Amino acid sequence: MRDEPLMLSSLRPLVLGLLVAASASLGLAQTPLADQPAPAAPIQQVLVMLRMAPQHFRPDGYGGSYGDGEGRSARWRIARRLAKEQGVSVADEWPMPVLGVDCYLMTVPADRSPEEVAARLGRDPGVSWSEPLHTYHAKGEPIAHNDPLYRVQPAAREWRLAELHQISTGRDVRIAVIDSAIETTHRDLVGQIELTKNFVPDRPDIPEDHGTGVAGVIAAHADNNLGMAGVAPQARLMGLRACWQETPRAGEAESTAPTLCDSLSLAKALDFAISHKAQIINMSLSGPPDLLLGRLVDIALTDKIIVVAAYDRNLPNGGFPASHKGVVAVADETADPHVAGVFGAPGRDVPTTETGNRWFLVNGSSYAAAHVSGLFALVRQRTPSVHNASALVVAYHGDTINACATLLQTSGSCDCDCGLSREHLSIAHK
Amino acid sequence: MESQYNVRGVSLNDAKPDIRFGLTYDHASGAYGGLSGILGDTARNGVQPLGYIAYLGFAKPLPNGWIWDVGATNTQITLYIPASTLLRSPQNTTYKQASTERYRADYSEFYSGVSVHDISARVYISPDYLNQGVSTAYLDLNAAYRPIPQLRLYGHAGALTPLDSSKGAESDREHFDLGAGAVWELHHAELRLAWTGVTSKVEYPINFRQKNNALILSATGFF
Repeated sequence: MRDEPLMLSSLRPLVLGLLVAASASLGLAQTPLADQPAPAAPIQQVLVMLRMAPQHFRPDGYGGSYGDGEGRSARWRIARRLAKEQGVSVADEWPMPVLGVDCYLMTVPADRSPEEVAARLGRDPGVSWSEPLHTYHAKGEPIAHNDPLYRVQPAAREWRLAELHQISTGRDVRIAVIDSAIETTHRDLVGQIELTKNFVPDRPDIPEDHGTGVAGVIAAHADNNLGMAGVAPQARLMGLRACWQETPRAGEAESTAPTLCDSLSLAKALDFAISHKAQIINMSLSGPPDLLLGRLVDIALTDKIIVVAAYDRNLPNGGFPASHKGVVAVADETADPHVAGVFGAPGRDVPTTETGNRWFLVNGSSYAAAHVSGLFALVRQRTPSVHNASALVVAYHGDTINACATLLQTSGSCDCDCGLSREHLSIAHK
Repeated sequence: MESQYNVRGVSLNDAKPDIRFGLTYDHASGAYGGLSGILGDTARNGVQPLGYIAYLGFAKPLPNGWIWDVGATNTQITLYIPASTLLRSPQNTTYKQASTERYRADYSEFYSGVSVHDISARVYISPDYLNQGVSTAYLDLNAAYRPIPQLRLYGHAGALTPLDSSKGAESDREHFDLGAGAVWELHHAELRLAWTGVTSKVEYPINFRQKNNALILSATGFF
């Protein structure tokens, strides 16, 4: 079995007149403390946000505003100046137009603390905000392989998935899976991934378990005589790799290697998802509140994108982004105690896709969140204008999601059977 | 530096290279401005200062994510037109010799538009575009796409139309231009390869023969 949490790190603000910088990071879910890997070496990097001027006309002779070379160059010079003043070096740059900032990653010498450097950068009047880059862990438990059949899926029984699929399959709904790399050639996923984008360029771009598992829960093929059925088997996934699976240490099984993310890679992925019109963003991860990521999530919500996140019981308020206003927070429905405002979904003994064209059983809120992202895809196919997702969810006592009632929007005396009958009658009538 | 000074699909210096020097300023409030001087190869007259473009504007992000942009430009430009390509002397010819006519234009445009992500649309109004005695409106649509962070591909479509059609000349006609290109961006420089084309037999706004399309190579350094 496998339990994979994602966590996100915090960022802090700085400000600079025309410029801004920032940092943040994420990680994967929780495991028993005794099983956790030794703490990683502290990350000696900070994020600095330099504000972009709004895009505008330039008399460049070819239409104007195709780019912002002047501004980009100016921000780069300012970043270099700041780095020199603080004795750090610029390691990376990533424009985030949806936030109106250029994000610079700066490396801090080993004898200085990133917190102190970020605070100093934050005092510069030109910096919008800055904060240390944080890293988070996820560790898998030993994997128990199983014969992956639909009938063992919790959603098959509890959510009556096959019946829901007669009403909706999430056809053409675009879900951004911000996670580790997905095995796009997996027999249960092939053709389901509309695009992939790697925001972790320094790591080998190879399929990884967490992302592949989350993708399978959401959109594995149904009725293909293989493995299991995704909750939204006709949805289209955007595989945005912002996390990576660490190389196992000597003597460790590969499946127990931690999965890490950082806030910069997550911000890049969020920015991409927003810019490329994702309708749902699945973030099966958690971590500390983060200003940069929070602003991107706000923009996503403003753009009517549903954001679903895993709730982490080990972090205050369930960790970010689950704690962020407007984000749909999801926990494993079997875990106690239930937390008000957090929806429960299947998250224990969930069969899903594994790298190497295999399937495995997984546990944790990561997969509960994936179930809910899939459910929202079903809802969005039926009602494309839906975006206030939380208001649509129909739940049992204890906030465990009633998938059937959520999809059909039934209540009171009309239960799921009644709703499905009405729906079938309605379809027959047409 | 660019292989020709081309405005809205029309080369204004007989398809010869030019160099521009620009100074730009962007304020955090959204106010911006700039001045760009142009030095061009006039072929028969050697390298000459062609003029300048000054602009001042204000861009404001809107709550829906769009950016509204408004401003004005003033252009002073001297064009050296080979006599062999001249269909009719422009109104403002200030110098004439056997092989070349020198034409000076001093005109303003006022613009407003919106942009969202990599798409923009603007309308430009000029009371006397290129001093041809005709007020014009120009609609400018642009879109860009980045397959990788350093590479920007763009497309452009424009339509220039006279607002008063009383002159009865070629300038009464609409003039459409298209453009597409690729820009490779570095930290302090960019390289651009672009194609631009205009509707056939362009004689507007200046009465000289033009090629209908051009391939333009340019390099820009930022200091």
